[in-house]
Amino acid sequence: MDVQTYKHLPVLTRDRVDRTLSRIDAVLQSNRRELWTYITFVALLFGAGIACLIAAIVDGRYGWSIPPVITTALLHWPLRAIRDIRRKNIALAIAPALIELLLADEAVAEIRRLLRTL
Amino acid sequence: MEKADPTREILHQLLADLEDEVEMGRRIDEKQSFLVAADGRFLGRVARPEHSESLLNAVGRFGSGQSETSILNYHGPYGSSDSPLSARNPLSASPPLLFVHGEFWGLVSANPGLGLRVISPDRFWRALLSDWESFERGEFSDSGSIPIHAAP
Repeated sequence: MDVQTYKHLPVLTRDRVDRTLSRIDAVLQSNRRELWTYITFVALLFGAGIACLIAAIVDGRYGWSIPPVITTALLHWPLRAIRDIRRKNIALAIAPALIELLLADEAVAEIRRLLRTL
Repeated sequence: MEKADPTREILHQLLADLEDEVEMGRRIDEKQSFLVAADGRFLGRVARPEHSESLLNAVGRFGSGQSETSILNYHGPYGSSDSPLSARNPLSASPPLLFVHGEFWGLVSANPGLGLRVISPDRFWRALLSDWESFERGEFSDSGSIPIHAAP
């Protein structure tokens, strides 16, 4: 048996680290899909708002300038979701480097700090 | 109900793993004698039987036949005859690791063909029961005849 350790202790084994890295990759992919869904949604809302605004100006029916206000207000939630996903992606991308480069106790402190920012 | 967040789950898991690693570093620095499973799970230390982490504490997490983290639990992952992580599985390739006085000593396994220094679980218990204090100090012997540096 080869006691494969990631650094020098048999807790965080190479196998365990590899499994965590695979999970991180899977979550990053899923986050990317979610991110594009939100971006599409935001683009559609924004496009609809702009279309209404142009219609209002072209037709002179200024009542049509109200929907853009509503769609712009609705952008708040998807934009916040996009910001959260990006923050999570940054945390996930940083985590492997933390365990690779830092001592275990330093990595613990950094990951705690990352978790606080999420 | 709050939606499960895989990002947080992964980071919490990683944090737990790293904390285990720090904890093990501390045990090594303190020159403890202890067992750890191949999956990183702490399986108890050599200490007076009243100690909560002692392998000899029959009602503790590591010395009870009912506890999941005990190699004495013959139905558990670390004590059954068919678990890949068990000391009692004669075919196991990843049995528990034994640290004596803060240094990696070898494996506790019923499988003698692992290529590293191996002690059978029965012999391990005999040594522990006969003189756990010497064991804790790093003077590990079987019936007082095999000092650690000369053990097979």
